[in-house]
Amino acid sequence: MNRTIKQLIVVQMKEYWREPEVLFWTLGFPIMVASVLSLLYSFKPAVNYKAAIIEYHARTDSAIAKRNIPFTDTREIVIPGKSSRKISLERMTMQNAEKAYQSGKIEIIIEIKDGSTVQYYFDPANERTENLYLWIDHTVHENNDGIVSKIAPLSQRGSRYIDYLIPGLIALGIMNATLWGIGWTLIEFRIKKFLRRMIVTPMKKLDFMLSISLTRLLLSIIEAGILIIFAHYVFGVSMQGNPLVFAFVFLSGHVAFSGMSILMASRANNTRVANGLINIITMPMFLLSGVFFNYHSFPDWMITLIQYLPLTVLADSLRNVFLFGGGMANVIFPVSYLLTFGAVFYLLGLKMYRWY
Amino acid sequence: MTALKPEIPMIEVCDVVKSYKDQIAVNKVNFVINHGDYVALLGPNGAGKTTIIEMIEGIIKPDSGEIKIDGLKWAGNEKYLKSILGVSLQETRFMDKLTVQETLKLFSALYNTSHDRVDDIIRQTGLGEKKNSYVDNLSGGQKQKLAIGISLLNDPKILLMDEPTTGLDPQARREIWDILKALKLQGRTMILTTHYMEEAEYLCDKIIMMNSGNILAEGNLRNLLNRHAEGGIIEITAETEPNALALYDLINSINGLCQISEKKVYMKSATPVPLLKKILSLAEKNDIPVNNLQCRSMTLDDLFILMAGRHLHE
Repeated sequence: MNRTIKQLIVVQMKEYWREPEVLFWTLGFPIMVASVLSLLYSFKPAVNYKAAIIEYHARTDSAIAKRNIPFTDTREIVIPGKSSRKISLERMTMQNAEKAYQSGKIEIIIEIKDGSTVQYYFDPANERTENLYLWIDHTVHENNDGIVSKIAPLSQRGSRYIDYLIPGLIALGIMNATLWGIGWTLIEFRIKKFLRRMIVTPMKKLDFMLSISLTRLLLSIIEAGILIIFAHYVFGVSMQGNPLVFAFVFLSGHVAFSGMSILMASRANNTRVANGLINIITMPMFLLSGVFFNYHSFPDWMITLIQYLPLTVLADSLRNVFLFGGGMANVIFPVSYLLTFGAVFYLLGLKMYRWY
Repeated sequence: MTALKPEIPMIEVCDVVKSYKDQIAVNKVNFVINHGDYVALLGPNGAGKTTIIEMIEGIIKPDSGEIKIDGLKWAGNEKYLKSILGVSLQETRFMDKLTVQETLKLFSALYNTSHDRVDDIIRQTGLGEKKNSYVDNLSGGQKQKLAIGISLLNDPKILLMDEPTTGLDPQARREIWDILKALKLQGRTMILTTHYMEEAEYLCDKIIMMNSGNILAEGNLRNLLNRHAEGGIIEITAETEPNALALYDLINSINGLCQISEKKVYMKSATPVPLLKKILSLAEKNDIPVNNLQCRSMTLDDLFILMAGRHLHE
């Protein structure tokens, strides 16, 4: 690493550590969010809930038919008193259902043990799923007094809400660290005429951009590291996959959002514009990309769009490695997508970039 | 690095034009600056001084015309030209939470100069006591000293100082002048933009007066004043503004070259003493009290008002 880049990184790190507000928002805030949300899983209204129903044998089928349990020939339950909200049912094996539950594609698993017992699998700490269970169970009991309901808590590691949340928070941290850290810094440097002062030195523009990006990468690694250690020791969350694959996905996310940040900051020359631009970019992804709540409750046409958002791609891929132990083969396409996305935005940004 | 060639002018600006949208910022400007010259670009805001400096710095390109530094154009010579230029901008805010020394170290890395240079610059600019202070905690004068210090890190042959003392108090301004004056003894070339005539008079050998993108006059201070200002300036201060206006009308009837500014009326005259006698007698006859009366040599500001019809500091 040449001296220019090293010195640029050193001064940016110093500037970072000397701003208490920045330290709070980048290091303290994600931990606060993780703690609060794990305790108070707030309800998020959604149009469609998704549940898995475990495939059963023909013998059980006839028993169910006798009992009038409404899962045999229907794929949808309307929530009592809330006709605009429905629960879509999908038949799958227990193994697939557990995987779908961990990745947030479904919110509850229903298993019909025999003609008279219905067993529900979900995390009881998750208030939203508990409501869902109550609605479904109410439908089940409406015309079947003899049915027994049982809850099998899914509280083993990997199945809890906190397990779902941590990779999402890491993805969110990367997005915020780059868009605010790189985008905002570049705009502020321009406003202060600091960029203008630097470009009359023999500094290479690429060195400058690299230093900004590497500084934020280092800070993102520190932020994510602290969050992972915190989640491990406090909640027992641990990574199932190869840390190197996780790091590769992490890096591709950083590249994607760095490119986006440089393009976003290429023209803006006041902080209010910067603020608006960053919020416009981050808010939809913050709400839709499944960081806090799974996005499979949205209508199908929206899911198709959401799946192409860089934060969704990043969060899903991190989750894939973190929760399911996904290897390089499982993430190569999303990683390629993120790297390409970052490279295109970076080149466009550099082409349009106004240095003063 | 190519050696400087003393026989070639340090800076040549030939027929340079620069416009922003439909506004002409610099209009067919020509001048030459030789080795060791200290030159002031003097003019009010919007005169085109900063645009010229930015074109010399190579960060904006002229629409037409040519700029050569040490005989070289910017295209293809960026690295060399950046290494011989020292730049201090009109206003730069450095990183607030870096100390003076850390800021200098950063720029030392950008210029690829030795660490010893940082200590030299701290000594040269008198920032020793402040070297561990955050930039945020420096006064305006100290910040400007830091900016000048940074411009000296690469031991530049040419200094481009864009309004280095604007907004500073008289003492801080004087300290900056002393630093710049000391640099002249080291044989550097400098272009200084300013709207303070006394700064130009104190520091520079040559003055280029600009207004609305055009050069009004250029030369050394004495030549300029001798060429354009024979005689002297009479300045009369009236008791009130209506009195000044009455005095202005009175003087205008006998000498059509007077100007008024609040309570002051002043005029250029090749024969100030007889004219002064005449004005005083007319004032007495018309019962217009006069508070103060001055007969003095012409300054750059007076000359600028005569040429451009406005003050330098507007």
